[in-house]
Amino acid sequence: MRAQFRVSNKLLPSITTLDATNNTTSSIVAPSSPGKQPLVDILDVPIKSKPKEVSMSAFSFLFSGIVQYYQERLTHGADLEQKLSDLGYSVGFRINEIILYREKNPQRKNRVIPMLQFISNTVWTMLFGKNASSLEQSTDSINRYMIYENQPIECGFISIPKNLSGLQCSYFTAGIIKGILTASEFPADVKVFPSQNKESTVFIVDFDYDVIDREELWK
Amino acid sequence: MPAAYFVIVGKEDCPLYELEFTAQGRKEDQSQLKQFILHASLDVVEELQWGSKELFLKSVDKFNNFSISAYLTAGYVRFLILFDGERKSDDSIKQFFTEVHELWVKIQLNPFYELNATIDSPSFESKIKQLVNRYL
Repeated sequence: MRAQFRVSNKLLPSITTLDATNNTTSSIVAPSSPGKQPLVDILDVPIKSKPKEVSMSAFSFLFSGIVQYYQERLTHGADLEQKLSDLGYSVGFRINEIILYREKNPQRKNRVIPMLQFISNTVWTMLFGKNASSLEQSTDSINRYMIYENQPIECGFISIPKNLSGLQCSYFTAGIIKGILTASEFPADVKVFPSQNKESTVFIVDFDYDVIDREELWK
Repeated sequence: MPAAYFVIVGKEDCPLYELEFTAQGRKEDQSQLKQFILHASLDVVEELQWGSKELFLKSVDKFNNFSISAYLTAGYVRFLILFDGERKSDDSIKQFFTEVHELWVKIQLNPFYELNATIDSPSFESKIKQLVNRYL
C-alpha cells in the first residue's frame, strides 16, 4: 500500500506570483504564450476545502534534495538535525492556522492534552494520512510527553550511512511539532530518539515550565 | 458606518495591521487614546483566552464610550475592534472577524511572509476595507 504524504499545494501559486512584500503583481502581465495563466492574488485562492494530495515520490525527492543541500554545507552531524528542525518549525507555525481553520467547528486548544491529541491525530492525518501510533505522558518528569510513530513516512527512503548512525531525519517532523506548539502558546522543545525496541521513533516533547504552571492555574 | 479602530495583534503584543475608520466628516484626533485603550484591553483578552475554547470573544472591555470586541485565531493572534459609541450586532462583528480570519490564514501561508511582521499588502488593505463596508 503506497502511503501518501500530503502537503498543501496551495503554496505553489504564491511562490510563483508574489514578491517578498506580498504585493500582487497582477498589473504586470506576462507575455502571452500558450499555457501561461494570469498572475493570481493569493488572497483570492480558496483554502476551505482539502487540497490535492502530493505523491510520496515527489516529496521524497524534495526531502532528499534538502538533506543533501544541508549536508554539503555542514561539517557537524548534529547541525543537520537542527537545520531540519528549523525548517520544520517555519512549516509548523504556518500550517497550525490552516488546519484549525478547515475544521467543521473550529475551537482553540487551551490545555496541553487536547493540544497534543490535536497534533497526534488531526495534524498527523493531514500530513501523513494516519494517526500517530500513540501519545504518552512521562512518569519521570511533569513536563515531558512522548509521541510514538511506528513508521515515520518522511524518512522512508533515507538510508543512514555507518559513520552517521545516530542521525534522525525525523527532526523535520519534530520541527513541525515544535512550530505548531510554539505558535499556539505552548513553547516546547521536541527531540527525536529511536524507541527502546528500536522499531519505532519517539518524539519527546518537553514543555517550558511556564506552560505547566499555567495548566495548574487553570485546572 | 460607526467610528472604529481595527487592529491585528501578533506575538509579543506587536500590532501587525491597523485600520482606523471614522464617521463621515469628523476629524480624528483621538488615535493615540484608542491605541492605548486597545493595548490595555490585551490584558483582559489574555485572562479570558485561557478560560474559553471559543474563537470569538464578543465584548471584552469597556472604557467610557468605547467598547472592544476580540477574536482569537489558532495561533493566538488577536483581532481587536474598538467601537466609539454605537456598535453593530455581535453576529455581524463575528462574520467580519471570520472573513478577516480567512485572509489572515492566507497571508500566514505565504512562505515569503516573515512571521510576526507587519502586513503591507495593498490587496489585503483593500479587501479589509471592502469587509468593513459590508459588515460594519
